[in-house]
Amino acid sequence: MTVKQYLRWGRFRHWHVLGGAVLLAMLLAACVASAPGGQGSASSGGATTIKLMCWEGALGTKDLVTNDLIPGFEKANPGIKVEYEVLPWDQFWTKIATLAASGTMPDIYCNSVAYIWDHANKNISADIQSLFDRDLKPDDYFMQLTDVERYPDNKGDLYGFPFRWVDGALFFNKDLFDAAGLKYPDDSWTYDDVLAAAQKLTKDTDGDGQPDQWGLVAGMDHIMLDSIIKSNGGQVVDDSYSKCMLTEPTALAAIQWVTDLVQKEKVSPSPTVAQGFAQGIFPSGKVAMQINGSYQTAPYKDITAFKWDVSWQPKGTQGRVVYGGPDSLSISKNTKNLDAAWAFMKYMVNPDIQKRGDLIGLGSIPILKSAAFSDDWLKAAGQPEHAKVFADSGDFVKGADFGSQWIEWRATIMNNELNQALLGQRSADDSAAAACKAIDDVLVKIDKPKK
Amino acid sequence: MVANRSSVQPNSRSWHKRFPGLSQWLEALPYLLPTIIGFFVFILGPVIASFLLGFTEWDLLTPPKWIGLGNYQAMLFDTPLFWTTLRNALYYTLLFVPGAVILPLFIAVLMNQHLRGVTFYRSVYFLPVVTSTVAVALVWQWLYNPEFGPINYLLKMVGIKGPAWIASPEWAMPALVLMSVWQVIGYNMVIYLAGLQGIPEEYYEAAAIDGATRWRQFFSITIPLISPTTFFILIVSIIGSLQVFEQTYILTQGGPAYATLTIAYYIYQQAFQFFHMGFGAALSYVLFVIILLLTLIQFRVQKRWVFYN
Repeated sequence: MTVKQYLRWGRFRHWHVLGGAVLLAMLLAACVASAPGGQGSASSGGATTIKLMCWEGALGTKDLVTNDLIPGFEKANPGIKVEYEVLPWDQFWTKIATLAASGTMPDIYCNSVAYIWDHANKNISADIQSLFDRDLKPDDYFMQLTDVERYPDNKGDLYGFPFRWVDGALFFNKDLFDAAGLKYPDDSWTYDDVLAAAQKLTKDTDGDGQPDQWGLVAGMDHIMLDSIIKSNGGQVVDDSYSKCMLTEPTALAAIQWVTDLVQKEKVSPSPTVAQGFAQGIFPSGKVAMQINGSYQTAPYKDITAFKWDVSWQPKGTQGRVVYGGPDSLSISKNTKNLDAAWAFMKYMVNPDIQKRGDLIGLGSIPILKSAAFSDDWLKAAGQPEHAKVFADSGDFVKGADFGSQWIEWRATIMNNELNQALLGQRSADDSAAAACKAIDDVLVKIDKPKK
Repeated sequence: MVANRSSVQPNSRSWHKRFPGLSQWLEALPYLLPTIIGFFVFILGPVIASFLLGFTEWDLLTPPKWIGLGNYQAMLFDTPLFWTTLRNALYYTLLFVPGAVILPLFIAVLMNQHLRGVTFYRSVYFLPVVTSTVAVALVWQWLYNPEFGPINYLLKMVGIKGPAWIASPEWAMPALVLMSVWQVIGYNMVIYLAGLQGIPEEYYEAAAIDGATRWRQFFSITIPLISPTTFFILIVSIIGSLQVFEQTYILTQGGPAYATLTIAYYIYQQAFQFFHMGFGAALSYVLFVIILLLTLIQFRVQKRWVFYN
């Protein structure tokens, strides 16, 4: 009995993590509060060792990082050694929080758009604006992607810098377009054009009265929905990041439009059907179009059953808005090796690293413009024919209201509430109202900027 | 002489004699210390700390802020999802407990016969218990696949269009329960087997002589005499139902449309994904109180149906 009970509790190991974290942090919170936040270089004499922490997949495979990326840096920067630790995404942020509470943060770490604001607000990450101004030229980089690194309001100083970024694109199945005799999507397409094409591409191929080939995949995710809302002139949350705007007419119309793709136009499979395809519905060859992140190129490169390509994320009534988000590195506020950590950041954005497809990844775009428009990256094996769309879209990129508790209010609550409209469980209006109520509850509790 | 000396001279021996219990305890202490420290640091400490944390707002990054009963107030009056998790827990329990209590009993009765190869079958039924839930869940994810999964393929062969299982709001919870029942059958079967083997053979022989059928024997002898085992399994199953985590963590992440959002998963989400540590701790204590109350009630009610001979 006791063994079984122990196992039951033990398997849910986060109880222990909670306990451990509580104790650790309580013990250390006091120490940290009084400890002096020493900054500056501690490279007196011998080699400086900096610690780098990332979640799995943030920097490429562990092999590539430890056998290639880091040795390359150490060779170019004699006297600096890099110690690398990698954790699964789920554990990474708990660990970072615990390390921050105990004052033992790594010198430099991979940071996500979901946490950059919080880390700046809570004095975990360092302001690197002056270092950037000293060593790098803004014109060389897709600076619009660095807005979300700026605290407190996307206009302040840099609290991280991207080594690559991803954006939204329209993935399409060329074979299905050819079979229907339709022109491929191009840069003139609006969301109405997408719907018109989707209607022609939705088919009942086995004659059972139900469509089994669809024109488009409807999604309430930030890449698809938020871009539609913004390209029609609407907002997801207000400028002060304190109020949900989904019940405003423009946003509501966008939510209704996406809902209708499934419920009224029936040009999209319901999420229930779409989820049934273990490898994703686009690789199954049963949908003609999907608005998704450029990073889907990596899994989609293995598709052999049909030909596919990418085009621009469509235009709305107020022009084009493309989702975009950076993958960044941040330096810890309390690092004693600021210069060495900054050297690593610079190394990550130098041309030799930036133009390497194997390091930057397919469908992840180099932050260095010259690399993004180089054949090394554009023509890397596995890239779609029009990979240049990914880089060109940089001019239209808008972040997805990244800020405090984004994972909670956007990636969890808003998805869950709006998906109920897609599932046909309630109307788009009711879903938007429910989403706003729950989102406002989160936003009202968010910390205000400290300065 | 010996007695005299020890009573006069206050040496260590007399001390040992005067407090025999204490001295034994002190001798045992070094050996027990690792466990005792472990208990205080990793069990009692967190139990107390999380109780206190339940009255705070804490994001791990900044020191906890005392908010009194704020978390409990928000939970009860301002968080519809909290009630969703309770509803889901009730639904899960109602589906899971009958399956976890009745099915294993029948299988245990079958496995309690002297048949060739019965140990083999017992092992087969026990296999899911020793397999990690993560692995089990990943396999079931494939079984449940609406398009390519074997379950819907078999249903299609007999002319039934299978549901979307874990992708469908209506079927996700029953699908999780089905998997959990399958996984727990072997364990509960072994406990029942132990109980069944404790029933003296003579009762059945006497009943048979009196002309009782096998069914009559089952209901009049087996069920009452095995009731302490049933009681134990009932308690453990209900507690287990309230703590479901891995199944939803791996298969559904609480969805679709919150259909499988369990209390434990909600706690995990709040504490470790959204970093509302205080709220998560408060939720844990509410779960603790619910489990405590349900178990106490069962101990009260058991007097009416559990027979100890």
